[in-house]
Amino acid sequence: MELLALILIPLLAGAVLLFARPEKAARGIALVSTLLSLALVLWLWYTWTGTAVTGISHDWVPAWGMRFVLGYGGIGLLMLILTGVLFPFIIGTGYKQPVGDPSLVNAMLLFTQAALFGVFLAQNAFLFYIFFELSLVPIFFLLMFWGGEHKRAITVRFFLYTLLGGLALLFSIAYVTLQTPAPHSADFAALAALHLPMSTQVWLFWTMFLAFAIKMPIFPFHSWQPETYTMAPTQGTMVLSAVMGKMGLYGIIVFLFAIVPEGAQHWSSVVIGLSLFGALYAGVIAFRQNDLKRMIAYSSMSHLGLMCAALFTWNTYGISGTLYQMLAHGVLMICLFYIVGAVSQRTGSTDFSSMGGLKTRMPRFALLFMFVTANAIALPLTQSFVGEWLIYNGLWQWDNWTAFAGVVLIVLGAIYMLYAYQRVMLGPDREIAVTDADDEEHFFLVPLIAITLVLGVFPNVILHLVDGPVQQLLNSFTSLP
Amino acid sequence: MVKTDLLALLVPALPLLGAIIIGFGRRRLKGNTAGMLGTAMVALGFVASLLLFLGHDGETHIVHLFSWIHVGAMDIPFAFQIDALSLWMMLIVTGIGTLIHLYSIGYMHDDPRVATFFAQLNLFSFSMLLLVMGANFLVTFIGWEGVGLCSYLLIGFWYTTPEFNYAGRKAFVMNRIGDIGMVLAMALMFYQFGTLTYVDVMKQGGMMATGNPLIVTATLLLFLGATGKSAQLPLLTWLPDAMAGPTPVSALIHAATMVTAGIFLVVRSSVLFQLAPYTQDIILWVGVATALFGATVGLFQNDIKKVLAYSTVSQLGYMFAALGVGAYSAGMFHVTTHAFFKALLFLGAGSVIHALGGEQDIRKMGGLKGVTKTTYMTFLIATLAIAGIPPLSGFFSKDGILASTFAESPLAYGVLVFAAMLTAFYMFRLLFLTFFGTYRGKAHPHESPKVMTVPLMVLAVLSAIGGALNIPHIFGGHDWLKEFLGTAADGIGMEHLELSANTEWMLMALSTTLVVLTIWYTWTLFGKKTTLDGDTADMPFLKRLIAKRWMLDELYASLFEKPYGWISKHFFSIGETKVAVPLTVGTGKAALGLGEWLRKVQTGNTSFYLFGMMAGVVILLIITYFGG
Amino acid sequence: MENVMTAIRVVPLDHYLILSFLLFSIGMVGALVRRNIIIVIMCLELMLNSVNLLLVAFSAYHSDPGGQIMVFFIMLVAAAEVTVGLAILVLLKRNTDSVDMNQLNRLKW
Repeated sequence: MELLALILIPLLAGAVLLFARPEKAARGIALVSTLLSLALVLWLWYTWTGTAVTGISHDWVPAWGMRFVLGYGGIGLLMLILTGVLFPFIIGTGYKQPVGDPSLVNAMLLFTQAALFGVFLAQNAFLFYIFFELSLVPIFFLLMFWGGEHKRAITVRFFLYTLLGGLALLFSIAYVTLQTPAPHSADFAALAALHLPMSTQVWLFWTMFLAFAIKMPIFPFHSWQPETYTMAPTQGTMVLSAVMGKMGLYGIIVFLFAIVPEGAQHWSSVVIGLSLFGALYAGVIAFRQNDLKRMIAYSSMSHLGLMCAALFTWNTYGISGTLYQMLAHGVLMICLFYIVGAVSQRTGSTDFSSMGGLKTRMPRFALLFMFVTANAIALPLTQSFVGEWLIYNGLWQWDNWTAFAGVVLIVLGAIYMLYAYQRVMLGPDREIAVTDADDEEHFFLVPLIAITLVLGVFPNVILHLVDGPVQQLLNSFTSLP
Repeated sequence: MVKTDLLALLVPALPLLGAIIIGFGRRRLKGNTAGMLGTAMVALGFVASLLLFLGHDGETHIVHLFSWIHVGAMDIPFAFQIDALSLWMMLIVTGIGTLIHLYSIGYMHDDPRVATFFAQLNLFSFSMLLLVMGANFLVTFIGWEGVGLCSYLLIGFWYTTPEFNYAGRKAFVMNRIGDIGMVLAMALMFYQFGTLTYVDVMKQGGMMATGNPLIVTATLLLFLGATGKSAQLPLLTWLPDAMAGPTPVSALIHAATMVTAGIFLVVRSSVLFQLAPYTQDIILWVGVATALFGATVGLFQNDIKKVLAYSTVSQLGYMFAALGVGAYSAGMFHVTTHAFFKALLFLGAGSVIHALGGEQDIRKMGGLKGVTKTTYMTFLIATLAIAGIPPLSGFFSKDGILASTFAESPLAYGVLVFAAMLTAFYMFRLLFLTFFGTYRGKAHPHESPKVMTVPLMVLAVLSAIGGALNIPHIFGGHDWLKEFLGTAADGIGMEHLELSANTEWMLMALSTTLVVLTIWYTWTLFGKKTTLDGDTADMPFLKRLIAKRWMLDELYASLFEKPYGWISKHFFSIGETKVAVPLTVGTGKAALGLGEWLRKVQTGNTSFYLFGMMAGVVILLIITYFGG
Repeated sequence: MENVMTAIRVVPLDHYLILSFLLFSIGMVGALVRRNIIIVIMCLELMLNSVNLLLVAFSAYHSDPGGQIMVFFIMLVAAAEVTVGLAILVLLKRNTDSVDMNQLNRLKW
């Protein structure tokens, strides 16, 4: 029941905002709703015993194997924690950096959260698909109404492109469901028990992977991403980068590794090659961007490429590292885009040319930004370091030269992040009237930085959560014929 | 045991606490409070280190705090290793650190961001202590990156000057290039040994055969990390630029402690390096080449801090040469004495700069020995020490390195002796131009306050008598430091010097004579200079090349920096606009095109629709009838 | 009720089928080729009624009242459909002064 509540709380709160339009109280209601969800997620975490939980199981369209099954394992729980922890911050962004009508914006954000909880709870492929696509709808409105320049063209392009991937996924789901013995079932458990012939897995892998590759995104399916991130309102960008990108990685674990494991193994070198190339490519490109937001969009793509590559290394360190990094990257993206929003609010633009020398006037803000930068370049004792260290170990165990290509990213990351920090903060005072970070901004960033540092020093809290599931996943690979 | 644990925890915890208190209270701490607090924290750390040192029983203590990263078979604890090597480094870091903190109170007195400065300096001390105390590679790596960050922050401390920020970024990025090696080495060792704890890695690694390709790869990668941090060829151009930071920073980070981290790392893993003769050869020649490079460039620099920076590069080269021939304790000894006299030189330079109100060009100095007496005296001692004049500390440490190198490779010895002559030349040129002759500038020189000169005097004493730590047998000593470091867990000081006492005397006499002759030559050139013709345009080609630092910066700029920008730009213009964007746009265009084509069906003619419907029904009927 | 059933059964089933087919075809062709909306609507009714006829016939022969219930549904739908259809017709006449089907192609966007 509490699983259904997880979806219903944001849904109902969103509906209330949408229909009652309580202009002033809207943010408060949304915040309370997300905090409730967070409490529920934390309670789930607290009661977690290490075994997968199935909360609700109902028939829906039995003929097609569609069933309404909600549940979670260790990996799913991690994703719920990610969504639960980050959304209060995403909502909180609206206090200081408002866009549009607070009722509508927050309603859309809450609907997205409901859909995301659905994605991470769904234990049936069709249900997963429905929530997967449903999460796009509120985002569509968010981008369409409150986006920046060229919002229509970019939104439509983004929407069409991701839908295309979704369509391929739907086709794959329908196909595999029909392969299950009658009565058909699209439950993940039933699909995982299916041992498809190798010839099928080889092509089915791509029809499924397409959806997730576009969602993350992975080179060369990424071109929607920089534009969309740049154009979207801050909160939209946060949702897209911090949480929705992770749906792609989660989908890879849930779909590809469970249903077409041999196909995934067959193509792993190709995927690792693509992802790592994309990661390096984005890392190099980020350096020369003239727009702070777009630079961070490329850095996000670089990080995600590394994570995707590590996922396909098929070993403990690669996979746990990726899972850990998902959380770290989520927190990082919220921080970075919040900072972009805060800076551009003061200077009036996200372009580097409007910034520089801000440190003189905003030393407290510069300190916060420095902490976030340290996390972005994965300095030890920050969250990102733990993830990246595990990822590099995973890559090394896969192949030495691949690991080398991956580790080059620590240099590229340092190059573009420090350059960005310099172009925003350092240099002679430009004598623009800007105010330093106020209490509200501290109240937002300090908890996130605290999470970063605490989980950088005590990563085992999260690592223990995923350790068991990752071992199970790997055991299921090794038991393959 | 409990006492050891507590003390070991206190050593890094105190500077961290200092950094946190000063960092967050930087607006509330008035006047010298921040400086006093920061100094006190490091001084207390020194006391704790000293207690540890005195209570040290030759055993290796592992102080296990908690399990840091635990996944699958990987269990990396957050633990400290207390043995001779780490204790020695802790003493250097906190000892020199305390003096430099104290000095900074005076030096940074007028800076509005003095509290930030001390917070960062304390954070640096914390990181450096983690680096030397870590019980496994990964804890060392925390410190390794931490000192990198602090170095970045402190080089760019005066952030309003874009060049300083550039220098900071350059330092960080070059260090990061070295870190590629460090991370890969750790991944390799973890894959190979299943642990990163020094003791276990050394135990397992020590059982492998000499020249094992795995060990060679691991050591080469570690050495890559070391070249980045310790400014060896080819990753050295950041160190001279790093002089953009405040002078105490140059003294602490870019002379005495951080740059020796690479040497520490190699000594720490000496068991592995001992098994990789191929790597050792590379280390030896990289060290020798760097020593020569630094010494030559130092000849014609006119910025007082730049001369010292290149001198540091050169001295680090000596240390690596020692490691390359397996003389680990000689390398560590030179680390120690170099920390004394180079810190003293930088602080002395700082005192001069302070006296002249920020002037760094030695062409505009001169005749200062009458005004700044203490600074002059201490600077003179340091200069004699670095030149290797007996019985000052530099003589013993440098001689140890030279003798070990001679036993291994006379050619390398020859180059190093030549570099030692160059060292004497550029150091005395610096000394003469700064303190002798007549004053050529316009400021009003004055001696620095006590808080700055006291550290100078302490360091001067140390530079003078520091050699006593490791007096070789031929002088009737017992190589105390060598014996002490030999008790460390990883068997440092295994090296055997296979030289007869006569050869040693010969070598000593040779190098000392050559150095003294060089000093005399330098005196004839610069001793009584009152004016300077410092134009580089009419120099011969080689001299001009050296004065331009062998064009290394320009080479890197055109080899890496510019191409990187170019690649970045073209990746964007080709990859994005020609490949990736057409993919999305193509998707949209395809959908539009399909719609455009299907649109034609909508004629608006109802009968046509009806006909279509009927036709569809009929087709379905036929399919069911024949297909069923 | 029983006598009605027997009465229906007097005529062989084939005849109902043929009649229904003829009525349906007339209706279909009429709806396809005629342009006068009134005629088209009448043709639609004719098609619906041909189906009704068939349903009643089968219902009687199978002794299954379900068919006749369907007929009532269809009649209801037919009535609703005619209401809408005639309303459109009236509006069309008012606006274009004609009852030509092809006038409706103006609704194309």
